[in-house]
Amino acid sequence: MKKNISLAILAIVLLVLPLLFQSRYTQHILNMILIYVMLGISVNLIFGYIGALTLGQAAFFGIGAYTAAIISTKLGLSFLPCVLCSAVMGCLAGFIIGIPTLRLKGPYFAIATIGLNNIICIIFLNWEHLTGGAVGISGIPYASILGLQFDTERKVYFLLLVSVFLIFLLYRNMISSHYGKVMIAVRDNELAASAMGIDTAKVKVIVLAISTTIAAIAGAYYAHITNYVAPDAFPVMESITFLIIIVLGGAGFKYGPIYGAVVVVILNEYLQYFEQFNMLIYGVLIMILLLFLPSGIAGIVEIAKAKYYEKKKIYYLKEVGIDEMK
Amino acid sequence: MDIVLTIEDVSKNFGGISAVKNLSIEVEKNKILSIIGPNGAGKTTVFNLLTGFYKPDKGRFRYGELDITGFPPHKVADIGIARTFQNIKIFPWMTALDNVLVARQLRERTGLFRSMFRTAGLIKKESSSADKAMEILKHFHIADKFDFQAKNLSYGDQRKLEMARALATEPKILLLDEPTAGMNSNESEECVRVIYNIKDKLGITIILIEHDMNIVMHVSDKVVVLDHGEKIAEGNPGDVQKDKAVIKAYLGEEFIAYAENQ
Repeated sequence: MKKNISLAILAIVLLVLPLLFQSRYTQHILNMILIYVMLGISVNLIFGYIGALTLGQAAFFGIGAYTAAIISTKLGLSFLPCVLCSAVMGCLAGFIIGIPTLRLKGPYFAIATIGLNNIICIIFLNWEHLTGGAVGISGIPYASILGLQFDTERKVYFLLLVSVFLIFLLYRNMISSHYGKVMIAVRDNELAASAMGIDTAKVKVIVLAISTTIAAIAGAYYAHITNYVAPDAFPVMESITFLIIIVLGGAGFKYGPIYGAVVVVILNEYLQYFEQFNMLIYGVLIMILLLFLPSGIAGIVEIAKAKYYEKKKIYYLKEVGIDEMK
Repeated sequence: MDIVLTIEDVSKNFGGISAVKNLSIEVEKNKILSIIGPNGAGKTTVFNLLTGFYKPDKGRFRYGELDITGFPPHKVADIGIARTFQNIKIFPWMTALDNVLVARQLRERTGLFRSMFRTAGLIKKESSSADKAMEILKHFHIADKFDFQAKNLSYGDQRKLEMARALATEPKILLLDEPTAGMNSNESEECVRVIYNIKDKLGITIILIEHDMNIVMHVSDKVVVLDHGEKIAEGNPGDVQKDKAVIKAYLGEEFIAYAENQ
């Protein structure tokens, strides 16, 4: 009952939020947060729950964005088919890349994904008649569903909110099911997991494919919101930003992507005021935050929750990364 | 005599060192077979070969009629061979119950897409799976600690949890790698009772690696002695104890005469 009330309040706040801010700029920030939540979910699945450190998620984000851009401008398909095509492309790319690379362990996988990210960027840059080269593709139409045009930041917000909600729901169901426990088992001890009859290679590849599908869907939304894609939007640095979101928000925690996206997007935007010092301050802030919150914001929330439910402490601490509680 | 598992002339080298050499063992159904030998004799290597963690250089493993040589670990578990590890390999951050639930997935696959959409069938299946997992924990007397994080359990309980998890895969053959290591005498006594229960009540064949000779001599139907990767003796516990090669391997040449005088 108490939970239902707090959920209702949260829903009202989320629905009213864009109406409180009149400036287009603030509404744009809200939209970026929602896109980054999708990307955070995507990275959390593969890094937080499977333990494969990915530094190439922007490649899949880009594949989704370019697929939607090409299909909508060259074939003239509408928004929903574009999102579907992007999702399929992201999923295929995940399988094709996951099968050879997920055999690699730890840092080797991370390096392979950096290489992948660079290759994809070079393809975007050089396959000119398809991707428009360095100029990119412009004139991507606004998203529209059943004649309803999402042509203002405020309308886009509601479209994104519904989409993020649906993706979050599937993601939450997945990680809180027994299948989610299998994922954590693969992360915590791959040998033991395989001795329990789990085909660890298969689990990893499937989860990577789901993760890349979500990244590609985020890409399709991005293309339709900005009406423009260019290769410089998907560098390795962007992949690192996705990773920062999840490390800061709490890797392997359900709500990690949400906390992380809110903090990172707002930080990024407000640090613009410091002009040339912005990356310096950003870097130092991230270091300080990680020094004091090694398990991310979600870790602190879990510890607070555990203190609140003192009796059920161990139950609430069962998720990763909060060893220092003892 | 009903043979469930045959190890046929298996060899494994690491670099120039032969860890297991021309080893042949027949495992009888519903019996306890112990593998003993000094440190570094290749006992755990035999388990790793059998469960697919290593590939043998030579030789075959037969499970009934089925040739399982070269099966990957998850397939070995699937056909009904489960194992525990010498250095405990539980999932430390999960609760005791979740540890067992992971193993239940082998027999009660819930499927990814059903999980994503959280269908009614899934909820039902997951709750029945959880009930079964609780039952297995009860069997090992750790049901009251089901919501403890596995890493917070006592050492003895962790070993029990590992056995519970192996049993949850519904094996026909259970490989136990030093199940009583690090337990006090009360705990190991209880552990022995549990091993008997697994054999008698569940009809599971057990292969045991154990250093505690009291336990080995007490529980085993057959003992195989390894030294430097080779089988030096095989037979019932009484015979093996008197075997000269065994005494030599464990204590050295000079003790043979001493043992004969006893």
